[in-house]
Amino acid sequence: MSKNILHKNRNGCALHGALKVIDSVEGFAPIIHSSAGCSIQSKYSENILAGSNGRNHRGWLESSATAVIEKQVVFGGTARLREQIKNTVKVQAADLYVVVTGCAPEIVGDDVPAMVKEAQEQGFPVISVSTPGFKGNVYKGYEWAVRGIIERISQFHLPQRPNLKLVNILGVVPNQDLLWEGNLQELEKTLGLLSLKTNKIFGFGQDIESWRNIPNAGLNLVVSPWGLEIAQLLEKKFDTPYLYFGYLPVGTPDTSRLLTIISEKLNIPEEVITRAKYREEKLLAHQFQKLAQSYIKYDLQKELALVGETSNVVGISRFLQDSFGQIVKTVIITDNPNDELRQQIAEDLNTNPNYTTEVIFTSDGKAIDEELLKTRPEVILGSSLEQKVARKLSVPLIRISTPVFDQVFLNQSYIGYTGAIYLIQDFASALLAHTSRIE
Amino acid sequence: MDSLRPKSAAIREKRLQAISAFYGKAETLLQEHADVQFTQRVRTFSQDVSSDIIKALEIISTIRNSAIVVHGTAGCAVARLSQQIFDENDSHWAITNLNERDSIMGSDVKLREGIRQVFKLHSPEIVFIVSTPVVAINNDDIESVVEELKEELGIAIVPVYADGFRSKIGSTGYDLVSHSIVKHVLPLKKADVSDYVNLLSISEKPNDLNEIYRLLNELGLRTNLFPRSTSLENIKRIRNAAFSISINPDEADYPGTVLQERYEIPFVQPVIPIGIENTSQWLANIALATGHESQARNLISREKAQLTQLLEQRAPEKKKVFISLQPAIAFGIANLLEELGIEVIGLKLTYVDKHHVANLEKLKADQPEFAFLVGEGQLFEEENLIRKLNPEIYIGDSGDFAVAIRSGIPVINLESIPVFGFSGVKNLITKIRKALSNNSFTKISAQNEAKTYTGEWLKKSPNWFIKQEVK
Repeated sequence: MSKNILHKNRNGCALHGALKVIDSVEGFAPIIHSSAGCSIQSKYSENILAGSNGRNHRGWLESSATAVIEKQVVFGGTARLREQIKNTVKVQAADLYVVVTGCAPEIVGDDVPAMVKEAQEQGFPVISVSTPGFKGNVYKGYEWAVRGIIERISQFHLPQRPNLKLVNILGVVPNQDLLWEGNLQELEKTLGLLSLKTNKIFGFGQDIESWRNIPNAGLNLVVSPWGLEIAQLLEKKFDTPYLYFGYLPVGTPDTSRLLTIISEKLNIPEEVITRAKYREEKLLAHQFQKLAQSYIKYDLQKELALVGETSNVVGISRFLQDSFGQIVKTVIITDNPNDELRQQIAEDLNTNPNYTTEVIFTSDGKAIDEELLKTRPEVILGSSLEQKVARKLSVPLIRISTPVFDQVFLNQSYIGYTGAIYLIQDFASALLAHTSRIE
Repeated sequence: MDSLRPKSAAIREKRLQAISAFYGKAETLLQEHADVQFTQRVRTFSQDVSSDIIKALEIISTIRNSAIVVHGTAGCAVARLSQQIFDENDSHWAITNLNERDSIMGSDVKLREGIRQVFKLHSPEIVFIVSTPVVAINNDDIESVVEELKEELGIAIVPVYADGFRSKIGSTGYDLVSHSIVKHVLPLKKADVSDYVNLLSISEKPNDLNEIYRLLNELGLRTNLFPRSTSLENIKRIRNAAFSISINPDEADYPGTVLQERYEIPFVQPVIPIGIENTSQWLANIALATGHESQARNLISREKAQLTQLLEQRAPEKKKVFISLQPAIAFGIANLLEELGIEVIGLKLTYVDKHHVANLEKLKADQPEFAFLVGEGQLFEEENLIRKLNPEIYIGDSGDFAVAIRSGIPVINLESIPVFGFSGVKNLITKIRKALSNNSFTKISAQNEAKTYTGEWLKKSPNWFIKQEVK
């Protein structure tokens, strides 16, 4: 509907995106300058809505926050922030403190950079990123926070020690992408086939050293619209080339295509890539073969609709369509990529000349429900919010995007060669469970 | 006095002298209360706390045939999204999704549009508007939108003026909801008295309420639930109730008080029904007020006999417990643990107000040297204290058990255990036994915990960052 009203809105604000970044790196700590509750709302989306995989080294209620009160809104909260920064470094041990700002202090006009500069002059590793909710969504918050941290770190860690075999991954938004940690590990495994080292920057074992290593990489691999500006910044600052793949590759042929492009960029000999691809492609084909009997017996060829962010949905849709024989009728993209990229995304999704896949960009729950009811797909891949429509249509729902509050995701991934196997397994299982339930 | 005249409920700090930052003995607070009032203290380091927005949404989302328009930026409604998981009634909601231009130019156009859209889509009987910091700071005119659309759509429209910064106590959000419903939906005049009671329920979960209903049914009382899980029809009935009855006296205080003020409905506000004695007393007080004493006497003696038998058969082990809960529930659980012979060695209350003077006096009499914490969240203080006290069980309900997990002690989460009434006694004993009989999960998780707080902080006194407010 018009005027930007969002029904059942599934995405948080820029502040939440920044917090998801900071909370996913060991040794990074946020200092939230806002009114009470902002980080708690963010934690809701990390802990409850992202498949219960949100808890990290800091608990749900442990983020440093000024929680400004009325007089600090009326007269300014700069002094309160100064006090909070000074005491945060005494209470919470961290390698980097990131001050993130919410709506109230941004409207009031608190001089946050001045407070941060003061702390820096005292030798404390503190930076700030402006992240009011009225300026952008959760994905923008990811972009701004990653850029802000890179800008700061790059001030101190030159000269570079280039490592052409190191690849940074940009564009995976932790705890927003349900499958983020599994996806990063799967990418690491995939690039490992070419003996490349992956700099995941988020999740298990990732700390400030991973971030200091960013300028040294030989390539930045961008797997969603939200890594592009970061990659451009890194190119400008450190001459690092980037590959804008635009989404996460699933199965063959996309995973193999990614490996081919990377080996060309990094001059990896052809026999290495041929050998690497051969075994993985064979293994995936082997799984197809195992499933073939059931595929036909239970008629697993269906018309699908997918709902979710660009990074996961495009790759999953392409694989299901180009390799798994599914007919993708509709894809609804919920992360609001900019207009220039939308054309490309629509082209990436329309891979079958025999029919058109309709591509819609919206995060409005009402528009999504209406579209699904109109299209009447036989299977929905989306979030828990699509459950009601799935029930109405009496079709199975496979959860691939946030929010999910009725299933747990720990290290699950649907990308790469291995992820594709889990994807077809879960796809087939959902259909079988659905069939046996209604009988 | 008319509490309902202002557009919003008075904050708990003003109305009840509520404080949310303290560490020390009961005696100190009692002295302050005797002198003037509890002293407001502030933290010079703090961790995030719930806002009135989150708490208001928690209640509104249970109201049947309603729709919510959260008037703010996209992030402000994530709390509502997360409540989807507990949805009892599938209330419908939208957010006005304010952008930078709206934050400067005002946004009443979007608010009107949002209300019209949810009305058209879901045909609700009531639409709630929940305001947020951006709207509160800009002082956007919500009242005239309410008046205009009430007329146009012919339904109840209830503005809940949350702002995230007026009160430091999130539970104020509960009061805002009761305030706005009574103010905007009900006529001013007193009504004819009917034979049912208002059962004032706020944060009780369905399982908690099942036991409360069971007990009140035994007394033969008919109830009208408010504000939790209410509906327009039930709201219209609250004016005619013979009594208002609290379950949690802290949370029910505001609706109970304003209904008494405006409609002269007697407010029965006994001790919280958690534990054997408290539950008996709760029933006895309600029975006395409503004239059901003989039923209550029979019920209490029957239930007590059963429980005494149970306690004799399976006395739980003697263990040291740390409690981190909202005040009425914490004092109720403390009484229950005392009945079970379990020692409370540490206590944290989300806030304290003038209704807790009697609890403080009991604490002072029983354990004059016992020091406790007051604060919502603020787990850095909790970790500091827990390290010093070494409890063997942790009982909480905040949703964040990071400190207990880090310490590797068994956690009992009251969010998922109904502890009200007589059956609550059994439920808690069962959970304590389960938790103590196998703690492998917490122990293994604890091994993987990184250091969150500095050694310097953990050596300090828990009240290091709690200071007297500079006016």
